[in-house]
Amino acid sequence: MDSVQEEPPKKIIKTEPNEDEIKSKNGKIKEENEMKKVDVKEEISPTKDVKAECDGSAPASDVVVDKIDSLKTLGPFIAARDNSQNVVYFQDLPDICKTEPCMLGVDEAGRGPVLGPMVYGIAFCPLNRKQVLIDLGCADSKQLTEEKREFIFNEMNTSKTSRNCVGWSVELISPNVISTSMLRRSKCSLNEVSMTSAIELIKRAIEEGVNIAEVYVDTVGPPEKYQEKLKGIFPQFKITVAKKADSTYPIVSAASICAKVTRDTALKVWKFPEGIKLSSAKFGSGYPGDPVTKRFLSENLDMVFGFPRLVRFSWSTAENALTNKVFEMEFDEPDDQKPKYAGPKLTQFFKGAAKNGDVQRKTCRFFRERFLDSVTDF
Amino acid sequence: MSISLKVRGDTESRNLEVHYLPAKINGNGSTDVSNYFSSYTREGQGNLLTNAIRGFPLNGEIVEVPTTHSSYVLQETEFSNTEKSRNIYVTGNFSNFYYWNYDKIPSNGDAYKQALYLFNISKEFSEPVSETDIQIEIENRRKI
Repeated sequence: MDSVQEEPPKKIIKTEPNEDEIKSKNGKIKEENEMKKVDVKEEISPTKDVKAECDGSAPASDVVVDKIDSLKTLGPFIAARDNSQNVVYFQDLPDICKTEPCMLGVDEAGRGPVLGPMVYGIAFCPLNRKQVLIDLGCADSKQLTEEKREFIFNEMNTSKTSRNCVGWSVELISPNVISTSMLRRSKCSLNEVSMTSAIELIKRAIEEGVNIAEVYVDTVGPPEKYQEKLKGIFPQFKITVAKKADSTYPIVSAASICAKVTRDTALKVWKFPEGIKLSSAKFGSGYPGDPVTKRFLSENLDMVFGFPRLVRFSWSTAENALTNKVFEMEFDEPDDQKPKYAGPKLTQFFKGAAKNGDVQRKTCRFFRERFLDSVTDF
Repeated sequence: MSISLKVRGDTESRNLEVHYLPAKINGNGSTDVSNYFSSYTREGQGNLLTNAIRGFPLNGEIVEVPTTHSSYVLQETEFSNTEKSRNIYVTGNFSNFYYWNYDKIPSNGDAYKQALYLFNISKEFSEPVSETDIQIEIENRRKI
């Protein structure tokens, strides 16, 4: 298990040397937002109502929502999907993105938490429309409050200016898929899972006809390797992979906001196929250090199945929470240790004939290979 | 030691959903299989099923019990004095079950499927052979 993955991102931010720089930038953006807020106050109030409705009515809605046109429809859209499988949503792209050269930002949300989906998001807009993103308030999504992110997300999908030039797409990577990928016989690391998701989203954008010129990617790991990989796949684009790209490039912030809002909403509308009735307030942030999350993990145990599948079993936190609490489970081939060759040596077959055949009789191979044995006591 | 097998009511009516897992669970007890496990079974191409247990990916299929055999679930109550006699109860039956492999598509190479060959072999070994059958076999050998 990669311990870095479970580090709360806040810590990483704090150790970042150029923090002051980021802050001052955010400060400016925030000031602008404040000014904007006054103008659009009247537009804000409906979104507040929307939010309340979205939280309350989500489980009741049986109508399948196929399009997300505001924050209000995001919840029902996610709630109607199978939360044990990945879900991709691609917003109708503005026509201008097919003709004008575009920049595309990629970011993720929910990499560290032991609960819920990890969400990958992309956002794109024409190179010359960067100002629209700044006007929307797209800045480091971790510095924005939840309400602010939701407001920006709603604006992106409702206001005419942004609908005309900003497109986005998200993939919800189910916690069930994360666990099963990481616990396969040939392990697939979380980095691989996330890179694949990012690449597939970019490919999808190309398929949909987005005229991509520049790609900006936020990364947790070393950027060089990732950048090289992306360049190999998409040689036609100018690709920039950077740490904290989220706070440097508004298009990455936009992607980040889409991803973060989607993840938060996914947790709010999470329906347990296990039949557990709990609101997302009872899960906590999902970070291993959060006491609410810790309590959730200790109180929702099943002796055989462990946790409900909201939990990422492959996290060491989840594993540790299970040891000595539930039945131990032994798999037929649980370890990826290199198998030692225990069979007879090839040379043995040549020796056998020459010497006096003192062969010890083993159980017939037929029975050994099939694990068959006679049982007299049961 | 004697074992008494007890059948209560009609076992045929208690058709059970049985899962054959590639893992050993060190414990006994009841659990909510339908919500925690069955609700996550998904069907892919060619009737192949997928699911997971404790995050471990499973590939599976529904396997029929050989028609020559019947399958029952037996349960033993804890408090029997094991020295003298044991009581085992028949709690239900099943005619098919879910066979699961850990991240491996079920095939005829699986130990369970291979083990079933024993039925053919034991049949050959234990079937009565009549005098005439032997005569015919001897005649055939002579010709060669």
